[in-house]
Amino acid sequence: MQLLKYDVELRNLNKKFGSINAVDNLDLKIKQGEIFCLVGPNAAGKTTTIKLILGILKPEKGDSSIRVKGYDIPAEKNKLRKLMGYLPQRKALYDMLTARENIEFFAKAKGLSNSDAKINTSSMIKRLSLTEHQQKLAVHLSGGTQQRTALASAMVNNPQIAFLDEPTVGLDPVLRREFWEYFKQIARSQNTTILVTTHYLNEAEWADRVGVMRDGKLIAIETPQNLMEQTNQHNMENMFFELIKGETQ
Amino acid sequence: MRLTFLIMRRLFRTLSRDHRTVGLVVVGPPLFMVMFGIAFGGEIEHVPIAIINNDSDARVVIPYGNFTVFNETVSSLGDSITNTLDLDDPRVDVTHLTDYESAKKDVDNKKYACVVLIPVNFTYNLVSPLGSNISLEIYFDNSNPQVGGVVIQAIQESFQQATGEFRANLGFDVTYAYGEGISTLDFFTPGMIVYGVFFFSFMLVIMTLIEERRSGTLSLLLQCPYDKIEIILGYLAAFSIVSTIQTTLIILIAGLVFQVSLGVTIANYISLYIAAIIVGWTGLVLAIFLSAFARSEFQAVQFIPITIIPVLLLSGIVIPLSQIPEIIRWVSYLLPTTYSVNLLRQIAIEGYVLEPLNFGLLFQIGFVLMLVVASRLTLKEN
Ligand SMILES: Nc1ncnc2c1ncn2[C@@H]1O[C@H](COP(=O)(O)OP(=O)(O)O)[C@@H](O)[C@H]1O
Ligand SMILES: [Mg+2]
Repeated sequence: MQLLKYDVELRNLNKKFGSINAVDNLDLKIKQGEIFCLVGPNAAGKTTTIKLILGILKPEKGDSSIRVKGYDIPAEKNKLRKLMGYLPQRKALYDMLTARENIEFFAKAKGLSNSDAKINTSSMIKRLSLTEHQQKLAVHLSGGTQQRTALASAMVNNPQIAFLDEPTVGLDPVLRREFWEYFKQIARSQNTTILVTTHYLNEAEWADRVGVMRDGKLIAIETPQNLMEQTNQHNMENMFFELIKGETQ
Repeated sequence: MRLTFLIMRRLFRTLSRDHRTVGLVVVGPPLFMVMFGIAFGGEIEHVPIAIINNDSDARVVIPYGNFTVFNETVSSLGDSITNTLDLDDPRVDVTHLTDYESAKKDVDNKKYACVVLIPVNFTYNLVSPLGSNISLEIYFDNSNPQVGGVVIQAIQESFQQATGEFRANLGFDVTYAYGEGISTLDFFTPGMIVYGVFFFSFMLVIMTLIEERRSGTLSLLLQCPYDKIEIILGYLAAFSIVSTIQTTLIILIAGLVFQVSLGVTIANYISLYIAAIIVGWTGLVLAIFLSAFARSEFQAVQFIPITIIPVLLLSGIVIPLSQIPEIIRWVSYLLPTTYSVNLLRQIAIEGYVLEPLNFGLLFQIGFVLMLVVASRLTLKEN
């Protein structure tokens, strides 16, 4: 009998670019409805991990496996696509479409019917406070608003599982908090599983569990509270440096 | 000045690391110069024509009262004309035939550019004061007025040379197989449709795809739960409309401003539009296919001249295919636009109505299908 249902199961994952081990022997399990935060400095391998999970990149040959929502990746990646949301690190919008048109376009591109696309677009616009910007061309939106529009486009299909690559990068602290409140709300109310990456170490505090990543390796997987207790630190930034010290000694 | 120098140095450094750009810079201009030189340097030569020569030597007797002032055998002018064209004139290659009706069919089938019928007693009628007025029958394919003009000139010159002062009672009776009253512009307009439609669909698609890749929206599209083929087909559908609009504009301007007529019947016009839309597709699929091989916007833009210039020079748009030197003519036969130009000229000038099994049509559709399949494999995120 299976007590816990894992939405993401990664085993023995490796990815090299030339001599760089971008992802190094990665094992990871994420529960359904969990907000899992992959945290680590730039070049730690966070984006590469997400791209492996989505089947965009192929892992090194070997005894590895990727299962997401019970689907074998990359073989069954098309089945996963119907129920997932993906926000790439580089936020992509069509400059010459309005905010609303962008969200609605991606709603339809993800397979929603025209009427569902309209309904979901309107509710995303409301939820992410885009109402006053919805008729502006994306190219004319401020950076933060573009990012909210991109997030709305990624989540407009009410995905069962979401992969959000640095959704808060470059945002002001208020907006960052709003994003995280949104993540918590959908995880609690819709049981959405969320894998979110960030290089803002402090953000990791708000996640259910944290994976600390460095040089392609996961050096710790814990709840934020446990991590801080174990390292005797009161914030995540200090915790991280404490962890690195432990690693390099 | 300092900044200027820094920027200059940076540009050289980045350029020199991009080997394809270095290649284009070095190899491109000489290659195009050679192509232009070969393409435009050639004269129109060795056009196949047929001659039916029924003339013979003539015994010409000119009486004056009871005297005879002239009594000689004049050797056949028909023979001399034929020999001049056959042996001395590089512009035409002469085939000798005997049956006028079957020769006309050969002209209809594009085997010869024309057939000239030199009638019985041609020399006698020209030379003898008792001879009657005589006209020379020419059955003529003028669908390419550049070639047609050269052929007619060669024939007229050879007759002038042979008949000299006897020309007074000689007439030319020209019947057109194709292209009666066709102007150079009539001839070039179908080519312009091909070039305009191909150029714009190729350019627009490659630029749009570059932008789609640069902005990252292509990555998002590739993560949607649809087959990649749908992205390609979406482009195909959108740009079919663009091709239709462009064709309409070219037809309107050609017709209203330059009095070029491009079709007679509704079936002609429908054929013209179908052919033009397929031209748009060939440009579009080539753009989608090539865009996968560009690692930067800069490299993608390089594909534009590399594609557009051979199409302009080698598809028969400006230079007739028969005048393209044989060493590079095989390239012409690989270009789908060669078949497009041919097809559109047949439709616009000869009143051809498109048939489903037309070879040119099938070649282009094959090209499109092949590249759609190939693009489905090469269209990737990275
Ligand atoms: N396509 C690629 N080619 C070569 N190296 C890459 C590529 N993608 C990522 N890398 C390298 O892999 C490492 C991890 O990158 P990435 O996963 O983007 O890190 P993060 O998202 O944590 O910043 C980095 O050293 C990066 O330079
Ligand atoms: Mg990253």
